[in-house]
Amino acid sequence: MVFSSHIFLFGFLPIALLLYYLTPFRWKSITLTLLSYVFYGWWNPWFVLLMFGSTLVDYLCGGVISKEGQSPLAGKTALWVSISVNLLSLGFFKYAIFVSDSIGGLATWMGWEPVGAPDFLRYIVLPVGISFYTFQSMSYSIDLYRGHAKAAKNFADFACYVSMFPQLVAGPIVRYGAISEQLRNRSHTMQGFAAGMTRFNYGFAKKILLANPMGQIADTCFEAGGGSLSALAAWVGAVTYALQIYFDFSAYSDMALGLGRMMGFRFMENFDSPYKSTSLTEFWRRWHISLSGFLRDYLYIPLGGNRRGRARTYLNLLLVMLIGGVWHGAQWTFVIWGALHGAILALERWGRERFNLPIPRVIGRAVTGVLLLVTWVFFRSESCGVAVNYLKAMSGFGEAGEEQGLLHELILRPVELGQLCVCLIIALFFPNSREFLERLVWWKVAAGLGLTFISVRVMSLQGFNPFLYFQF
Amino acid sequence: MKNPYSKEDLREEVVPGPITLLVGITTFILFLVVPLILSLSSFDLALSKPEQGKSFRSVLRDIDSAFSDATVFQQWRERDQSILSCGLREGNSRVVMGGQGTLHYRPDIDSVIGKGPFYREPTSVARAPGGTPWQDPLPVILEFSDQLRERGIELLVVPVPTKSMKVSVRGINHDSVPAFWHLMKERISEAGITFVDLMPALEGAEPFLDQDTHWSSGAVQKAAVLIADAAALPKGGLVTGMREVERENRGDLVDMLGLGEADGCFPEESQPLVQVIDAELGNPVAPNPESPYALLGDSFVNIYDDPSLGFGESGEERIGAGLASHLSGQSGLQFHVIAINGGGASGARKAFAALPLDVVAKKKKVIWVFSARDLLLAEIPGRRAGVRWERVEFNPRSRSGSVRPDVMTLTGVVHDRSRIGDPLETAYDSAIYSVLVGEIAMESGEYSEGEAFVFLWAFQDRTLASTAGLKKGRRYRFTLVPFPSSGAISHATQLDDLFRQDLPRYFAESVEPVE
Repeated sequence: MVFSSHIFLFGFLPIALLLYYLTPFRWKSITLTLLSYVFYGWWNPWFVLLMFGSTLVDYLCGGVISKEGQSPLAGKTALWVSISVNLLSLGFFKYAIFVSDSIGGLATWMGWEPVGAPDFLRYIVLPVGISFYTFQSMSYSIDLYRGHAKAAKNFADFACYVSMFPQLVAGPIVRYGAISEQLRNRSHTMQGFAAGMTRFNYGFAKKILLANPMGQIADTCFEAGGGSLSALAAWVGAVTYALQIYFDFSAYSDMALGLGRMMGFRFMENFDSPYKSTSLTEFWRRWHISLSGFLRDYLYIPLGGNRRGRARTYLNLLLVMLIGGVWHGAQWTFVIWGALHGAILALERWGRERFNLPIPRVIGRAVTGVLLLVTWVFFRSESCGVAVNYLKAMSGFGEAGEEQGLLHELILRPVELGQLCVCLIIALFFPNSREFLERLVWWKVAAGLGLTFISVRVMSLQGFNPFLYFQF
Repeated sequence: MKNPYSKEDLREEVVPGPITLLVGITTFILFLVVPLILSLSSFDLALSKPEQGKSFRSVLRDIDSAFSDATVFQQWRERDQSILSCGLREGNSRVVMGGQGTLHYRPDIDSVIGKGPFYREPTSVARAPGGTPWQDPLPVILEFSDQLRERGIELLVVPVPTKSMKVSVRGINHDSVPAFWHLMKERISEAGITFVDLMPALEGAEPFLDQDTHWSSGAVQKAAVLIADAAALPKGGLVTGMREVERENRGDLVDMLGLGEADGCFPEESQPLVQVIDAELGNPVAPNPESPYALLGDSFVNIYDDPSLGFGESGEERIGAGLASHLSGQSGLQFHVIAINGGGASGARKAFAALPLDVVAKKKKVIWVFSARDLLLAEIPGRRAGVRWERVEFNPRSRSGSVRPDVMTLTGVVHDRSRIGDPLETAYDSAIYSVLVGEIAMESGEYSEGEAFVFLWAFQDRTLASTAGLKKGRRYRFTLVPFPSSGAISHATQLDDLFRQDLPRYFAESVEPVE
């Protein structure tokens, strides 16, 4: 089920709120878990079993890890069981076909016998949001092992943490330690509900009124063939995609935070105006903050972080971003995207340590913007070949012919250009949702309701509009 | 224990008092609940749609659709789209509103600006678990040509250039021909198949209708000259005359905007038609299934002949100004016309291949006319536009292989059935679908096969037909007639996943469950 759908807004949400608030506090976690299973099972009821299995394994492993007087070996074994089960499930559903195809490609390239992927791999359906909930579930075992969290008091609380529908499929990735207390004890106030409702309304409007129109232009450009993709169209496509992915993903986060707040939860912020960054290093402090934090705490620091010399630090940055890239998707384009980000982060660090030159903010923002646009091309393209051709078109070395006029007529109409300018201004100069709603006054609540009404009407015209990050 | 992540909590200051908040929250809740209550009646109707042997997931999808198609949202959609289209000249996801009153079908534009039919989607993108694998058009065309050649039949491939290749979004005539069009033409010609390039037929003032995906009447006439010439048709004995009439119609693209009754803001478009009249009978020239010349195609063939696509008058069965009529006018020949709206790529070929062996054996040439959109779209936009390229197998049986009385009544159990999509999402108003009936008990007439391959209405005017809900495993009483070779049924879009070329095709005039 998608937040921006009629079934969610007018069916699931009112029923979920009603059931949640009718349930006595001690049963609320169970109600929320059951509702979340319905929400998740709507895509494919079998996926619920997978999530339940992952939850059960991590809960049991957590029990072993946190048991008093437990031998270190048993704790360590339980930790690795938890990590292995989660990574194996993720690997099978997300990466099996990619690995198999890559081996086949390598074999062909080496001139060996062709190796075809087993047919059944081609019929595997990727469970929505598997990357998010496996990471979240896995972080529980790791946090317990490190002593950063206490074990869940009961299975219901833990299942509720893993499956909680507001942030289940696209984050923010919530660590157990961050909400364990809230699972046991949270307050439900009118103020909290109103704040959550308003955050949800603004997120919904952001998705429908900003992200989707940008997505239409971006899709047109990225689906265009070499004969129609001029340099201008390629740049418009890259910029609109950058805006789409930001508004789309941050809209989901706003809605997730809002829904959580309506039910008394406070989740962490996931975005902080990332396109206002003056470097890529800053960008990663502002973009998908929960993933950056996860990669930092569970990968970068265990790899040695910046404590093992410069060369190792650069290598760690590269490795972490590579894995971050692969986490997003089983394609070489994501590997390259991650590698480019890792390399740029390492380069920025080297530049800071070597020269430490003060760079004017305007120049920093412009350079970061261009770097992001170029790397987003890999993120959006379906293959490396398409990405390279797209970048060629952006550099003016494309092969656009007479069809480019038709594409221009489609994407450069006044309405589309107007939408693009509005989105750019909002992303670059306006306060973000958190800043805007930090002080909630009546007109912001009213404006949010008005925007929701308009957005529902526009949503009816737009058709199906899933969130981009659902595919990860 | 200290929460190491406490700094990540969301904190905000809520200024309004409890009454203001209560008003806001109540408004929000009412907004979520009232549309649902208002549309409960339509919701009930949607959920009580006839069972179709569906999986649990399909039922969930039906509930999704019931919500999004609820009356209140449908009314909002029509009203808002009419404000956008009539007031602000904005289209929707399927229709682009261009300059000078020109509407464009979005997949037509995609077929020109897209990656083209030779582009291979990577596995990670193209993977469609449980779905039909994508077939590239070229191998299918080459195989079809080989199949015909084996039977001594010559194939002419005639893709009709899309509107976007000749008319810009701004409504100005231009030539925008992608490189892959030329490449496709080259590959097909290299295989010894006659590729008729209709671009020259579309020169001139108005090659396409403004509000419609289809070509103008003038372009049809020019195309008929080109095709007759390329096919080197012999001069037939049919004497024809011409009659000019002026007709009006509101285009299919206006329908696709989904404006409901507000479509009046688009005035009907007028076309001067030239009807080809059989001089002996005084009627429009009729198709002849016995003709050695078959004309296969889609709505580009049917338009100006089939009144269900517009431009007809009440009671008129055939307009007589379409491509088949003008080919007859050019050559003095009648044609065996098999044209299925939306079925140019596969449906018409499947229907041709299903003809009895002895009927096919009499054919000399097959002229296959279909929208170039089907030929030029890459996989992803092609799937989105509902294009399907399928290989066909020819019927190994002749007419004498089974007795086919005109009407027969039987009871039988539905062994399999084709899927029916959402009528609101298709490009056409009406469609028929196929079922496979077994365990047959005859009540009247004669039938010698173990199973019957039956078509029924799936939906008409985008409303599910009462015959759409046949369940697998249940017994029904069918009144069957041989599948008609002309009329609305023969032209309707065919939803056929069963692909039973080995059985004769029937149409169910009526069906009722047997207890």
